[in-house]
Amino acid sequence: MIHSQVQSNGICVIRPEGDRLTALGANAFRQEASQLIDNGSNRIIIDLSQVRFVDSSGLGAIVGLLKKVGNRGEVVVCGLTDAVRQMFRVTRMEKVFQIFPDPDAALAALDG
Amino acid sequence: MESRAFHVECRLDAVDKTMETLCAFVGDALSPEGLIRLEIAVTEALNNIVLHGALPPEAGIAVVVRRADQDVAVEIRDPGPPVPADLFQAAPDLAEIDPLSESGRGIPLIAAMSDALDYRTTSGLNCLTLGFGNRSAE
Repeated sequence: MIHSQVQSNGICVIRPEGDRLTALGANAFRQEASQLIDNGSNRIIIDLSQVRFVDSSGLGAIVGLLKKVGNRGEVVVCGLTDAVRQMFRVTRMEKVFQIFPDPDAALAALDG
Repeated sequence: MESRAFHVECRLDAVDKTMETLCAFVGDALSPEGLIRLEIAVTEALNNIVLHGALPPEAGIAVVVRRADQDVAVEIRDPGPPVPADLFQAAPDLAEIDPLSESGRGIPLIAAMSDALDYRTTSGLNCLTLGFGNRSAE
């Protein structure tokens, strides 16, 4: 359900599989990403550039990861497509997450 | 006015598949922003029936989409137990929801993303009708 890549600086980039992060796959996404956190990743970039649509369950899964990491690290998102950006805007997630245009910008910010 | 009917089995994967076809049918009747609002609201409504409607997977959800120039209505009928009549009208504003809440946004999204909403139960069928035009999400 996810593709993950741990960079040399320990930052983990997660890419959900498929172009929709909805109730259908939200639990699997949350569980797999949670496993990465349990295994020690606490600086996480969620790359949503291949995700065309996120529903409230997908959003809840992303929020859940932010809460799981808590003060031990950071969870940021990048690559928001139009529908995903609109979902983030109407649910006020833009105030909750740091949002970057792409993984490189997110990596630079987290590593700065 | 064009219309198209969809039969959606009561499964989450069926919802995702239907939304792809449904949005393609709506096409340019709505602005890109209006189409996103429709996709959010209808996805939430269908997922809500699948997740909370106490229906078997083979149960059918009937969806009819009517599109006109810059105006789309989506009618969703399901045979599950009815929700409270004022559920949608009483939904909290999205701004009032704890941003760190992991759930509870579905009904508020349906209410906020649609331009018109009607819910009624007749002869054992719940019917939610959502209307969409071309206005901004906020």
